[in-house]
Amino acid sequence: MVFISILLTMFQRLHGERSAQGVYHILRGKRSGQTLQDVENYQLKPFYSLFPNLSTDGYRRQIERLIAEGLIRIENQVVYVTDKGRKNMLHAPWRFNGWEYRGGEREFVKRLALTVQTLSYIRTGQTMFAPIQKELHIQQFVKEFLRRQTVSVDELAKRVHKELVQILSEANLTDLQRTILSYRLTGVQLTAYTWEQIAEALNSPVTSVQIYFLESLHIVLDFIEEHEDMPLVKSLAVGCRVENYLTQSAERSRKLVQQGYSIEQIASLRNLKLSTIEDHMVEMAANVKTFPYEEFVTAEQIQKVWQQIDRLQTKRLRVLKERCAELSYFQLRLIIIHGKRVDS
Amino acid sequence: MDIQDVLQQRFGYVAFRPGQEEVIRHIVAGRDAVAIFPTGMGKSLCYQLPAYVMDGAVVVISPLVALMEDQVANLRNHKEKRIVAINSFLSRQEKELALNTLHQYKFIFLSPEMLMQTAVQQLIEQLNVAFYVVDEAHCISEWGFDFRPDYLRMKEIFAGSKRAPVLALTATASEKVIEDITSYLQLNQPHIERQPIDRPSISYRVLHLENQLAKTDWIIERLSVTIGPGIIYVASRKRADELAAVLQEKGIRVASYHGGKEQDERSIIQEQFVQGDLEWICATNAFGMGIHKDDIRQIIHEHLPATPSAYVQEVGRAGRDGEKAAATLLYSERDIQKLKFIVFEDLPDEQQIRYYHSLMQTGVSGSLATEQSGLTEVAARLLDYYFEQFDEENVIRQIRQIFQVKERQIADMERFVRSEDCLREKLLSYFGEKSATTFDCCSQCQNIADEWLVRTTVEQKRSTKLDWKERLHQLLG
Ligand SMILES: [Zn+2]
Repeated sequence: MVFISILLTMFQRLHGERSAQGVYHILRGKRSGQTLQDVENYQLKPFYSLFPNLSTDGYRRQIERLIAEGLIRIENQVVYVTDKGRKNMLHAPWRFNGWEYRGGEREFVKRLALTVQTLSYIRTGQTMFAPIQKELHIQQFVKEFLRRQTVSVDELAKRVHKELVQILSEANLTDLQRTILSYRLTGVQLTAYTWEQIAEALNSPVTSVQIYFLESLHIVLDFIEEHEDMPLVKSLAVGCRVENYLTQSAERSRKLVQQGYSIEQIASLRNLKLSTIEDHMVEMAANVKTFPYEEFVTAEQIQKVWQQIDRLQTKRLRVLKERCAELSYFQLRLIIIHGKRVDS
Repeated sequence: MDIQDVLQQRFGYVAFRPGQEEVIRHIVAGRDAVAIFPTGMGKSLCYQLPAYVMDGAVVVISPLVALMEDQVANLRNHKEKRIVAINSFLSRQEKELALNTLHQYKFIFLSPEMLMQTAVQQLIEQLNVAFYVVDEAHCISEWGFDFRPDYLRMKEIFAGSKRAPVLALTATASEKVIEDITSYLQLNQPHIERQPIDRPSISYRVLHLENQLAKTDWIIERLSVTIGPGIIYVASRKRADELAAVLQEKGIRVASYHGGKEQDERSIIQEQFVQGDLEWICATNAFGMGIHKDDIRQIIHEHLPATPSAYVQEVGRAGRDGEKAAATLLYSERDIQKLKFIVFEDLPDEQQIRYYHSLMQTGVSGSLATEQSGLTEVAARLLDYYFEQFDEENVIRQIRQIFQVKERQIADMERFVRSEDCLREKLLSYFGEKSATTFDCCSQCQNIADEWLVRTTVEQKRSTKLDWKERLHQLLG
């Protein structure tokens, strides 16, 4: 039910301009020009890369269910949310921030879980225990984190405790989310609950519990990012935010642009198709605040296209191309990302 | 330093356990050895200790990442820091770092795939290797119960005449498997040290039941009147989930465990079982390796394991503390058919082999050929290996041989469950051992005293009041 609510929210934002496949790519965090542009154009960044392991089959079953229940309909491969679907979106606004974390939130909670477990054992004098996190890089991270601390283990446990209470109390979480988070932590004679056990105790489906958990991680990480008075948990979150939004290949193109090469030159230098370099430019426009739009489009062109967008209530490229035949698809894509506002 | 001193100073033991000293002395003297030690009988010390009396690094090839991590953790507990584990779970940077600093380590753990990489081999050749260890060496034999084609490729590695000694370790191995280990690993007149696999504290039961429904009923009844902790081994992931759900309904503290669950969930379930929060686990054969729990009292098999070795190993997880433990195998007529289906699914038939081969020759990609000829992933890797060295007819002959071996192993299991004589004797006979147990033996001997198994306490219902502040307080004070 909760997953369905996410899908309906996304389809609604795409208001009949994308196929079901487009949403699938966003949820999986596909790094292609089209997907990156979709999340930008339709305000879907919060949902980007929420479920990197979502299977085609699992997704297809959900879509079939939405259709069977009359919540969406599909025409010419394009998804429309029905009136019944809109009434079913009653869920409070989602507070995901998938764009910024892209799986980094899972890294954070693994570090947190191992840190809490280690402190719980060591403060009671037990140095031998089976680490609840088996991944070597998580173990190394936590070991390094603990080595850097200068206070006693007792004091450290106290401080981490205080920070966690503060974060869970003050961040805008539901009580359900606070409970779920705390029950994924392990310590002496207090092992974490499995998803099934939490779901049973809370009388809620497993997928809902997992989705609320994921959302709570984003809320917690956003909270930590904005506050300075929780240095310990903050240092467990280091590197969990995406620092470079560009794909490796786009990053290389970006450097060449900076050095003053034209996109035709870059294409021949890198031995890639021009359309690929154009994709890189679109990716950059969506992610780099200082993108040099003026090198590709004029202020008049931007104004003209946005007048069409407002009048026709669509961002579909094919429709816009019919009205502005003198512009290339590449230019149209840039203009959509640029947005309506033109600085003089 | 003398090995006796190392035993005391580094490992904190006063005396060797049976068989350890013999293996260690042979390795230190530069000889090859095969050590067959039942799980939990001190197999690891056989390679850990000689490392400290010999110059150079010990290269350990281990097939499972979980086992590798277990070994690494074990060494760290003995204050050894010079350890590195290289497997496919490392990122590229981590791997490069590890390989560039290889000479700094005393213990180098490698997965078979890693060892096969030419770059890794070249690095190892430059090292001063004290000796090699092949863990779970039975995986190299088609006669073993979890044959791994990857392992077969090690043949070439140990071919040289002036290589360092090799120590092959395994928990169970028949004569045939030992022959394979010796020839494939090119061991030179190895010392063979075999510790008895019989565990007198475990009593055996085989029960014939009508069908799966009857088994489910029996398990529900059994778990309500007897004690845990225990493991119920089932045939599939789906069945593990299903049975766990049924038992949960009855108020039993149980969870399912299998390879289809995410890693975090598996760690939590394992830990809950070790801590006693869970009394029972419904599991596929993925559960058990690397778990340290000495007080397991019961092992129940709801399905028929594929080989006597697999059965002995799974049952051997009970009663490590030396106290009594009960093994029960539930059997119904159709189980043999089901087992054959599962086992032979991974073995290509003649038609599939020919078709796969023809596809590969026309340059079709491996994964496409696998799919089109309807092979499983395991089957395709097996064929790839054989086609590297044999022509089509000989590959077919090889596969037919494996088929026959597996059929014989299943026949062994069938004879075991149908046996009208002592079950323990039957099982041990497959490993060339004799039974010395005269009481508390098996359901055929009819001399089992089960009073200790009876549950006397009433299960307390777990409180479901969840409070996050209280929990944080309990965790961190
Ligand atoms: Zn007997």
